[in-house]
Amino acid sequence: MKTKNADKSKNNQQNKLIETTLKTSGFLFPKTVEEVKEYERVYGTTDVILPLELQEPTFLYTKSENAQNLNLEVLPSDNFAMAARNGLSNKLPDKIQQKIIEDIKKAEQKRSK
Amino acid sequence: MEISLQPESTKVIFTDLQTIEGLKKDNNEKMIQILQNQFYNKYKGYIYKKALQSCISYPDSQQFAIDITQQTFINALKKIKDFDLSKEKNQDNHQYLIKAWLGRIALNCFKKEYAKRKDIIYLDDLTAQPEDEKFDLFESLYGDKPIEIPNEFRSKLNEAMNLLTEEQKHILLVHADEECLNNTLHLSDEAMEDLCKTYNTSSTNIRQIKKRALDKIKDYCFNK
Repeated sequence: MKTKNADKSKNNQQNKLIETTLKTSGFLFPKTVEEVKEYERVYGTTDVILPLELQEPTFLYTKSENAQNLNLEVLPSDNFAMAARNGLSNKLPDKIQQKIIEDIKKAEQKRSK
Repeated sequence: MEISLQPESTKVIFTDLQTIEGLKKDNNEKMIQILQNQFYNKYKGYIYKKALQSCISYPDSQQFAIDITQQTFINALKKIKDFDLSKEKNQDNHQYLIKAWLGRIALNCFKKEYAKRKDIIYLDDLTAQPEDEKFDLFESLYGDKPIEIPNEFRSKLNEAMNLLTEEQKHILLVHADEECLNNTLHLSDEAMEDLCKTYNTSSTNIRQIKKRALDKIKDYCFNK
């Protein structure tokens, strides 16, 4: 009986060790303050080079809840990004500016493929 | 609304607390955008680095990590009203609390993105699930101090994880995330249902896969 309990306890300890290591070794996202600190102690705080899609948070303006829905009818030939390049962006209405951001994002995605 | 297409040159640097509180008051669109940029620029590197590590053994890992990073910030900004940083008086801890909070959101995004890649459609992508009233998000961000782990064990576990199949690895990590590696502890119904849908199999089979994966890991880490 004693041996059985000792085995169980050893087994639980091993499982706990594996769980904690997975959480602080990059396999899982650290979910508590202590896990974050331990993760940063092991891996440091140096950031990696970000891909183009993440340099600027344009996706927040286009996908977030606060982003306005476009009610505009846009012809395929309309290219709002060109207006931005010509320095007209500050004279354009909000909805058009929103569309510019979307166009830029699409173009960036196309380039990165 | 005036949108600058160049990187924002913010003159004032807000503290984490000011940023979070400012983002809750959505009365000034321009200000919201400045705060969003500052929040994103401060934490994007951490989330992307972590996402890349988590996705490294899955197909198309970079795009997977990009999707998780973007979705994490979108979801975080939607949920920011429920995040009360002011409870922590020590400002030095604020960045860790935010990272832990973002980590939870990122983990959920990972699960959903992974399921999407396996062609599983999630209904809770469309409908928000009510929070358990007893659940205190803020309290839960403080955990016990993790046990000290020798570097040798870390590398051994890393090698052992490489021996697992993608399916075994994913199932094991879901169990580890919910602290259910012990056989006596069971996954939440929601997590088990997700795994059964993802792999089109029964809960008994999922538990078997987890057991086999764990035995493989233990054999490599403790018996070799």
